[in-house]
Amino acid sequence: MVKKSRKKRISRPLLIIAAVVLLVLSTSIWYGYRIIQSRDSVGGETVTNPPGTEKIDLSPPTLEDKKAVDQHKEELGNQKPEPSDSDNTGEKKQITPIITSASKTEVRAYVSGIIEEGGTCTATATQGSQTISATGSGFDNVSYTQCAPISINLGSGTWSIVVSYSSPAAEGKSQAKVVD
Amino acid sequence: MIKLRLRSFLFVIVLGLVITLFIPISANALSGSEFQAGRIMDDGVFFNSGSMNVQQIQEFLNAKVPSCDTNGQISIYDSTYGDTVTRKIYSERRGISTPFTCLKDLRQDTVAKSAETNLCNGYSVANQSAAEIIYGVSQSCGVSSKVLVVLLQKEQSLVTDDWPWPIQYRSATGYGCPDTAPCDAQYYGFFNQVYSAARQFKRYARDSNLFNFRANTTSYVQYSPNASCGGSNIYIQNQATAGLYNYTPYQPNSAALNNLYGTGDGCSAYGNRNFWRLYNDWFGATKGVDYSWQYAGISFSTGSSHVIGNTQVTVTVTAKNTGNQAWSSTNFPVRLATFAPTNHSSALYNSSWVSDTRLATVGQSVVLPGENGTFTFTINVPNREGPYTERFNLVAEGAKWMPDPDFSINLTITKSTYKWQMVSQSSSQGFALSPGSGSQFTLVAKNMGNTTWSNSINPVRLATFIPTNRNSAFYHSSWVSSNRPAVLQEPSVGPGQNGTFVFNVTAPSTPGFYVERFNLVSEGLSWFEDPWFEFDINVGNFYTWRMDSQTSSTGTFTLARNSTSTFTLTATNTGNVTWNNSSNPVRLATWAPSYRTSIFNPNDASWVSQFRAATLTQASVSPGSNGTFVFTVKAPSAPGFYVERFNLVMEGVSWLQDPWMEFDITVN
Repeated sequence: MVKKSRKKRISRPLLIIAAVVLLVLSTSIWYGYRIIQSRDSVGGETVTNPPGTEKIDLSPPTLEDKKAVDQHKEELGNQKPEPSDSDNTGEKKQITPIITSASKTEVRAYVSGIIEEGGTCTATATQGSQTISATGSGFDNVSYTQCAPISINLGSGTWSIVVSYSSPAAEGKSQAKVVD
Repeated sequence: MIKLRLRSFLFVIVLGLVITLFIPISANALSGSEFQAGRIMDDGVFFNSGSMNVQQIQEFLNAKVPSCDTNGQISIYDSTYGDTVTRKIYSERRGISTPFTCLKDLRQDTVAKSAETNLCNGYSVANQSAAEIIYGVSQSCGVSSKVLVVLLQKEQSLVTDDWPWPIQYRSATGYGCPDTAPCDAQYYGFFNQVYSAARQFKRYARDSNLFNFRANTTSYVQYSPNASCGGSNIYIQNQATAGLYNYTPYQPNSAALNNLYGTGDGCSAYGNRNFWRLYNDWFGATKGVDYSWQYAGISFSTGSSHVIGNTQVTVTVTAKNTGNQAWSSTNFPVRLATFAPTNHSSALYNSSWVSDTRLATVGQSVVLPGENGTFTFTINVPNREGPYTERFNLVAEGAKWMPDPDFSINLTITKSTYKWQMVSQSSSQGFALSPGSGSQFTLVAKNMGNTTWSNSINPVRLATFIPTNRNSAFYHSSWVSSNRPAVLQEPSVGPGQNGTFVFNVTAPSTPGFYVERFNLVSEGLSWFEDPWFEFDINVGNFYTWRMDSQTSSTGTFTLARNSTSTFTLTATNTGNVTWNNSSNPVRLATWAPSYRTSIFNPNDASWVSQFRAATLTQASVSPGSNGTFVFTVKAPSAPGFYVERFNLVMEGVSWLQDPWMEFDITVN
């Protein structure tokens, strides 16, 4: 009983000292941080380097950084193996090519959802009953299939262009793009 | 209980610390509105292989994973199984075993790569840390280490992951294996991923025509792989941005940008957004400092660029901030400066400028991108005839010169003419002055030139001339200086108007005829064209007079023999010496010849003497005033017509100059 109360008496001042030390510490760290941050800000009075100067941020990962890690893990962890194209389902993967630019002389497109070499990209231009086609080969580009630029020669007037992709593993058609 | 209290207290302190640490970070957070879809990153930033050295990369990786959970001991909620387990168990459930190797601790054998023109310079086999690999690839391929670090985070969160799985290293940069063919060994592993990615960014540049997105072209970029989400046409401004879109062909939609640190909507793609955000947060601006401007207007206090030489004109130049940096008047202040050649000395220099090469600092404290800034300054127009052109540019002082928008100030100068003509000259005491006497001279001059005369700015003054700035014998202490008798009286005298110069003179002590040449000068600017102007001054004592009137008390100059009459002569003192009637009195004396005996002398002692008919009546007659002489005559006994000549004499000094004065008297 006596022992206990003695302990209590010693601990209280210790507790107060610890609190004061921690408060001073946290305040000084906070101020230090503010100074560092304001130095990096552009247009403030405390700018010491020309604006746009690069930096290396050595602060610990932020909550967002940690959240990004967790989210990514969850995506990876819950990933179900996609049905492989080599599965013998006999069905081709349906993909949608995307036209990034089209003119009367050239069409550019890519195919997302598949990474492969050797497929064929075909641009088909339609004007009334007239149809003109041209092709380019597909090749892999990091995370998708790139169509080589497709050269085409369209006459005057408005044309509607569609790019289709075809390979043993996948096929699909893009949305139409109008060229004046 | 005490332990509990202490623990909870410490918890509060630590929580407080964490909160305070995060306050400044969120205060400086990036805004999605700063994302420029056509210019995600500048080439100079992207392809800067010197952005970090190995040690800096290692320090950075260490900082982002303060402690690696190598054995997976931290708990995690497993949503698939609905329980909380250690990361070790969570991973084992998915076929992944510990230990985990964090990026900062990763070591790997690199793979030999041969050099390829305009791609990478190859690689040698070595056992290297992740930091060494990142640095080595950056050096070999000429892509910034910072870009590669951000790419690792953007694709697999590897930089901040404290329990990474092997699968994350396998596609560390998102470089995928083909779906329909066995994965090429060149894509396997961390080193291959980093090298392939850097090489691919170089390939987008070297073989740009093969790919969708190219610098300086407009392409359609979707918001997500789902075509129905749409997209927009983007003018891609540089190779770095083209490369980023070729690598990840989606742009963030507004939902993704509005919630920059979180998720957008079902049509949001985050790759390029996160790349841009992470780079900004970790390494600063993705764009080099872009200070640039466009001419937006100029105005002159004269109303137009047609100006007159040797005048001062206030000019305001308006410039649009077309860069990505706010202009400041204090931090790296933006100034209008002489240019082409830079910092040349300008013929327009005015002492009000910031310096001899800096015309003015931007007039606003801050000019944001897209806004207009103004520069107001005074120029001294050089006095030359015809067109005048001078090049200027803006500089952010201490930071950089802005790209030259080919700006110049163009003036059409009419040369100033400084001409005048005398309208009148006068002297309060006439131009015959006694030695040492004073007078006030007045010159009225007509402005025959094309500039307005002023008596304050470059004041127009009367100056001694021939030789220029000679000292004048007529100097008076009231003069502006020994060679500037007077300044223009009127504040301003326009072309065709008259100006007045009034000044006091003191005649020199040496008698003589003085020709005093003067001319006008606009101080600090120019002497006037010499119209040949002079004051001609006679200095000396001049004793002259003329008759004003002569009268006879009988009312007539026809006198009866031996009769008497009183004659009065009124004489004007036309000389410059005052007459008096006491010391050296002025008297009327017989004349032609002098000391002639007059037969009209009454010989009754009324005359002063035989040859002096009368003394001046007045005590004093100053120059220009009249004096009278009164004397009695007695007609002779012999009738006839008499011509009696008289003159004035200042006794003991001088005869006065003979004006030919006579009394014509008929005696009958």
